[in-house]
Amino acid sequence: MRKFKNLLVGILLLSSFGVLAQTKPVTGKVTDANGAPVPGASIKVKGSNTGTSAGSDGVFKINVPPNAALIISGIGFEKIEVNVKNRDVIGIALRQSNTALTEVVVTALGIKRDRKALGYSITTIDKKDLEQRPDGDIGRILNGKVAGLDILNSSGISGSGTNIIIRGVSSITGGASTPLFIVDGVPFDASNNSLNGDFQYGDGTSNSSRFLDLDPNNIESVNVLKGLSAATLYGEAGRNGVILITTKNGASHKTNKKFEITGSQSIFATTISNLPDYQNDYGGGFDLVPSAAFSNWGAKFTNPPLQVGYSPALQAAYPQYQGKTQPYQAYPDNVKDFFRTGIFSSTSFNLSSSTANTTFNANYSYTDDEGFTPNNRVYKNNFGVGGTAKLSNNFTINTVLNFAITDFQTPVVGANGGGGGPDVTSVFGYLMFTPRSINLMGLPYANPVDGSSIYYRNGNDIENPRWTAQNALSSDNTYRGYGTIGARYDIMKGLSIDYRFGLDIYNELQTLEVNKGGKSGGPGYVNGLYRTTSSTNSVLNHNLSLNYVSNLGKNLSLSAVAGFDDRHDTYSQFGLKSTQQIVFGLFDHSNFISHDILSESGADLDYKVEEIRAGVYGQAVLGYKEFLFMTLNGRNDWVSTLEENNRTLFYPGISGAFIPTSAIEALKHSSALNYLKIRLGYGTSAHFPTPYNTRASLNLTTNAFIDPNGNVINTASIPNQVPNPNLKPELLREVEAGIEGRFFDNRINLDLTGYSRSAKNQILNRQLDGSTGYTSTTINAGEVDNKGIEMNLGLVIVRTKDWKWEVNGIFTLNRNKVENMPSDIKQIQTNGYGGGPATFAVNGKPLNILEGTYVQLDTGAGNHGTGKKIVDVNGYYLGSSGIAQIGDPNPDYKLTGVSTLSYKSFSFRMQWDYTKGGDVWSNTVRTLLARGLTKDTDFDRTLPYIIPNTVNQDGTPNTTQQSVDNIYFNAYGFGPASVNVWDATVIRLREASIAYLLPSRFLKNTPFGSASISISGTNLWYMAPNFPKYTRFDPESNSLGVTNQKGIDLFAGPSSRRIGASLKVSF
Amino acid sequence: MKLKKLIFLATLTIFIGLGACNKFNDQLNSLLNNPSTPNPSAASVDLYLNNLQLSFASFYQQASDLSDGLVRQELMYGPLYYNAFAPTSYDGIWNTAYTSIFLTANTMVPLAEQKGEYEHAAIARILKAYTMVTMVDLFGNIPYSQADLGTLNTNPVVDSGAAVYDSAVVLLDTAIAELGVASSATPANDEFYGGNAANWATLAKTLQLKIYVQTRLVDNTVAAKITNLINAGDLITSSAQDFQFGYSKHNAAPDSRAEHYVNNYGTTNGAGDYIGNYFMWCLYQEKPIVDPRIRYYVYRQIDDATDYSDPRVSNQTTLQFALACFYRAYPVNYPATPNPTDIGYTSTPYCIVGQGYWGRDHGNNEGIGPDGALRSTWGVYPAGGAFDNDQNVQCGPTTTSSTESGAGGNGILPIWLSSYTYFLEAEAALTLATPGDPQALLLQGVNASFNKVANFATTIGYTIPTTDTTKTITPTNQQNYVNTVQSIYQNATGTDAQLNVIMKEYYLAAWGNGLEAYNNYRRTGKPNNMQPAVTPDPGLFLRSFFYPDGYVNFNKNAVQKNILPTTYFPVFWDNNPSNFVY
Repeated sequence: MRKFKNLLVGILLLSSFGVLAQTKPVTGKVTDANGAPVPGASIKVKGSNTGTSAGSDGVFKINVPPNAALIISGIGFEKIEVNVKNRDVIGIALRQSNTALTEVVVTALGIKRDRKALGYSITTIDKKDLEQRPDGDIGRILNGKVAGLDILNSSGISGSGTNIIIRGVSSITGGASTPLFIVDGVPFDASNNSLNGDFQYGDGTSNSSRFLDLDPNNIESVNVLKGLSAATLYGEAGRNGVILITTKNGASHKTNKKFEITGSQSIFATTISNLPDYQNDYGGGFDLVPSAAFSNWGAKFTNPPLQVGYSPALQAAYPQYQGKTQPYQAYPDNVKDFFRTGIFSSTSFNLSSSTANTTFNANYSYTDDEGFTPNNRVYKNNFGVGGTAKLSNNFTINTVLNFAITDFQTPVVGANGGGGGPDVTSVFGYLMFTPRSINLMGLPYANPVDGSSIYYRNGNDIENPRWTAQNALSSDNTYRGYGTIGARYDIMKGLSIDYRFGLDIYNELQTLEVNKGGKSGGPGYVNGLYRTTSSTNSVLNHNLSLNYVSNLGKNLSLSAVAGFDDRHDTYSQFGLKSTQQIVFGLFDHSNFISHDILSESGADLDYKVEEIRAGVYGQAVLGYKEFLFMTLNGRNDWVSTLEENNRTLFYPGISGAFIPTSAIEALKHSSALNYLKIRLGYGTSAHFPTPYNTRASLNLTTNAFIDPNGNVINTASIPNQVPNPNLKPELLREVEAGIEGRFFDNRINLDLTGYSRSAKNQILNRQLDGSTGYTSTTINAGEVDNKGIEMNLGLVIVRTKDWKWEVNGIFTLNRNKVENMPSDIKQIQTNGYGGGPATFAVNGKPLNILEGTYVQLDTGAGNHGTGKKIVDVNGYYLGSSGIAQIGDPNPDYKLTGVSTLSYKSFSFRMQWDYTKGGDVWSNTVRTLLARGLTKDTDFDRTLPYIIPNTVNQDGTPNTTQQSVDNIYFNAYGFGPASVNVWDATVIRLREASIAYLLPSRFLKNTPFGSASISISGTNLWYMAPNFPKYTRFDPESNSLGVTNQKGIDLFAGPSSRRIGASLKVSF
Repeated sequence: MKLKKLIFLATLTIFIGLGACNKFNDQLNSLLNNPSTPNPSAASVDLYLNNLQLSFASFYQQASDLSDGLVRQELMYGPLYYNAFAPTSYDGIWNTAYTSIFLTANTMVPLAEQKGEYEHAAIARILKAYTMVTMVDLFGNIPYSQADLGTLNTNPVVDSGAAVYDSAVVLLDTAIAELGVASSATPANDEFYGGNAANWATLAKTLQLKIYVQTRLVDNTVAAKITNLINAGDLITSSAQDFQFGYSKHNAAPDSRAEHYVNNYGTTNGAGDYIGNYFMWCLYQEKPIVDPRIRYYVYRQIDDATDYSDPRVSNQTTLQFALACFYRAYPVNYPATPNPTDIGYTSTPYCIVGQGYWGRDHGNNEGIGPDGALRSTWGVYPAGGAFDNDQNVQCGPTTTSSTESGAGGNGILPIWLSSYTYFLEAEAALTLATPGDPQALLLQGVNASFNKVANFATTIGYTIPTTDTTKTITPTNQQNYVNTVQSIYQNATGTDAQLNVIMKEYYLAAWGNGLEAYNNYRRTGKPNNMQPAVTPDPGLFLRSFFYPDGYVNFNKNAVQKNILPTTYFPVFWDNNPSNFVY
């Protein structure tokens, strides 16, 4: 072999000598259409083997015969032919090639397909948009980058859960619509393991979404499969869309050099983005009297200030305050100073190498993310290795193993129902409405003797937020290993067999530590609480597939795959909750007096769930010439969660793509229309219920009661859910149509998709009126329709040698509707409080509308036709006894605009997000108003007030005067829920960054291959214009946690802003 | 060659596949049962009965808690009646009734009868009947004949309250008959009567008496039925037969202490409940003598709220905050303008009672002042708290020099006491001329109540921290009190005034049982001097509660009671006029 090569070279050399005599030197420069050099372009002499390549400045020199034709090509450019025509110097401008025709994408099950052949939409996000971001959470990084994705933070707490919803919510009661995460080809658990199962305990805020275990810096690319057509092969798990992640370890791509090391370092400062704009003219109290009230309706500050006493608890703990007084004055920064500037630091290394038949990649990263709240932090260690080896006997082996250690801690963020304080312990519960006259940061917060909380109230009956931040901590430690082992055997040309084993296993240790001496949440908390749970989750996946690729004659091509897929999920959890701490500060169950197996909400801490899903699938892509493609696919599943007769379901899909620009001769070389593709797809998917809904069981409660004689009473009860042995799987159907096009010399890039998805015969966990003897059952009924438009429009506004300005718009619109609800179902509550505010599914209305109590309107006959709001005898709004729709949290649309401006090696990027519409009932806002804290209430408070434009119950105008604090407190604040629903329209500068790529000439004499530096920030500015101006509420937080519902805020806390820099170098 | 290999592989796969199929199905089937819960056949009648008893205690406590604010035993936040009672508050009691009591009883009774455990079955019927009657008392018309059918009827319609009452009487008759049959076993845990079947029969008959007296306004046949019951002589007339649920001192996992104890003594934050000023005024000021039960009923955390030398008060009252009402004008709708510190006034209380009885006025919804460690709270009876021996310290979970934990929470829920029977018999004798002398029955009731309270500490193993006879109930001051009541009764002219005296004593004896006080108030309009709401026009008194959210939101046939009608939906046995009570 080698000998033969040498011979060839020899012949080549000889032949070139042969022509040497007749040649002359020609110099040339290869540029792109704008005149920028194309380094490394290849120059060949037509009809010979002579050639060279251009230097980094695009310049080349070659000896050729005077009439030779040169063939010039460059990666990403169309190949052209140039005649030398006796010239000595020639300039060659290359046209960018149409990547749309050549791009290959990873589709379901890791199958690579030509993008042009796909009859559905796939969005790819490259690593450059994922690396060096100021967030360790891949979910949040994707925000605004993909049309059709709705991403909502549960709060600004670092490490808190993130809600991802693709193409709207299709399920009424099916749990969070978190998409399927596939990492390196195998399923990856992305759930949020809340222990209380109840938003009131801060689920989603005090629990992480488990995709936090992924390291964004280790991601090569993310493909988002949005529709059912795209995701059918994944089976029911893919019905909410698929986030297909290829890690650098799993990417197995060839490196330029034998060995490449990349390192990056990011540092960001994390601060709060949104503190209310407090007024500082009035202080704590009520009725203009200063006092230790929760409310800020006290006296106006005076100069010199009034003197008020210190609280008895403070005086008792600190003798220096005894008998002393403090000025009654504003502490303008008392809330602001509670927060800190957290530092986010991320370091990562990647090492890769390749030879002809093997690739190898390894990486390690460490992230230290300190939140803006004291004691909130995330430490992450991620490391992994991966590689492929092509063996000589037609086998290819690839393996990826990743490990993650995630350590998350936060002060507890429970929900605050709106009374005086939190219903459960919560760091933000009392904080945001701290009266202006409270010296929160200047006085001690804990008793030095017993460690208990000390605060301003005379009865010391509320918890100091500083105490909470130090003494009520929730933490989450996860040790996770995930990876894949795969083998491919090429049976013959075009036919291969593939086997892949995937494993994702983690152990999650969650703890809640509350020291004794707190004041919030009743006896269960204040005497000390320690809860520990250890849970093990495993996802085992086997996938065997047969792949076949062939040309069926001249114009037809076929690629097909058939396979078997088996997924086995187990989750088991062991836990213990102890109360009544003996020694302050020590968290060990032996330091607690009583022990229980129930969480704070009464949820069982010990249980196990096991589920098996198996399927066979097939897919065939038929291509006709290069312009017409059809994909047929289908999958049949069997699941363990349904009775034998109902446990299987077949669901097919078909999609097609037509490329007029390849089909119609006249369009082939149009510069106005560079590329056009029309696609149409029909896809289906399934939804199977969670385990254990079909069989009757019994609830046993041991140790339910200890009677006065010391007898332990155990009980048996009938579960509140009626089992349904006839439960069937749910079939989801979706039609999507789209256009992809590139226009005007690729300056305009459009990807437009419309879809309509319907999920009929929902697996519906419907509530029952208790008078049926039960409170819920699972049935097949109801339908959710989602229709939407996703558009991605890219414009290259400027494209010159040095300048490039691109603007990208992403538009997402989704409308959903609940339909065909059986007549015996009034409505389904999907989240929230029973008496409202709560979210509901009501026939004929959008899913998850907000219901709550409302102000009664004067709409009767006669005198009662004013239509105005009615007040009661005290001049406050007259509420309702029942609840009705008070808002719709579903936004009208979302719009993201990304501008990327680059000049030589500089690039400047901005991402603006705009969300139109959607309603939020905000407890933060209503409390700030009701308690007179923000500048919205900075008016003369001595004047009496009548709620304008209201009538009495008899229809006559309301003339009842009340003090302004009573109106705000009783009517605006804590009156009917409808008063505190606000339009959540928000505009936000989500990201801005400046990046600088060091030119290679600077690095010539250094060991670095490349180096770049960037300065960036997230959530830099936002405005929610329809909220009361000075509350500065950020609608992008959700107390309902990782669920399908939103629109209810119960002091979820402020959102975060991050600003910093990162550096990346490669060797 | 390759093709052959392929065919071989495919055939092999199919055979293995077919063989694996059955095994695979078995594996899937094995995952259908929840590994964390047992099969329904694991239930025993005794375990169901235990559930029934605990559920009933919880149900009754909730019923009492809903009602006691309306009758001023505890505070009703207002300011308007409808403000104070959000429909959300009733989901718990509603679901407890239907899903825990009715459903469990319906499931358990046939099982028990199969096994010959007739006593179990009878107890289930009695608890079910008691629940039915109470549900009608709270809500009026309720689903019953269509209830508890699971998915066979997901939208049960209501039955009239009268029909549900009738069904309850029939259930009680069945239970009484069943208790006469020898049972194959006695209940493993009988939290009420220790397995004594005769006491259960007595309770069933007493419950029938309660039903008949309750319906006396709308049913002219009840006098004869009451007469029969009284003549048969098997009613709860001794404290040994009292129908009460006993709690223990066990403070966690499970917390088995009395609810009012946990709310008020459970943390170091002080008391969580406010006691109604009116109730304390009745005990302390209304009669010429202080009711000797007061130190058992109410524990004062501070003996003198107006003592400025006490820093607990001075720090706060200078800020006019902890006791804001003290600085406010007397409400315009109150009958007179007394001096709040004037112990002798008899019109109506305001703000505080005496110097240390620190409660709240009816309908006062002002922000909660920092008075958790100052307000008066539940005493030793019936909550298992502290006897008021002028300790002058706040209540808390442990007894130290600065906190008082009392008995430790092993109180009772007084569901039906012998005193109640006497008061009902007195009412019936007075209004329906049933057997017995109203005055004698009234005084028997008062004595029964005093005996109950006086002996209570002993029965729960608590030592009254004093022998000072000016503080405790003694035969002498008990007799003085009885004599006082007797003279008040004798001075009352006419049935209505006499009924008022009976009902006042019933009201005072029913401390810890808001439900009976609420029933009595709606039936008789007595006591007739309840404290008005602090707002001049608090809207109409709730003659029944709103329906719960769960019922209204999920039952198609549910119709919520509106806030704006002219009358608040009286239950069927209440045919009194619109503005009968306030």
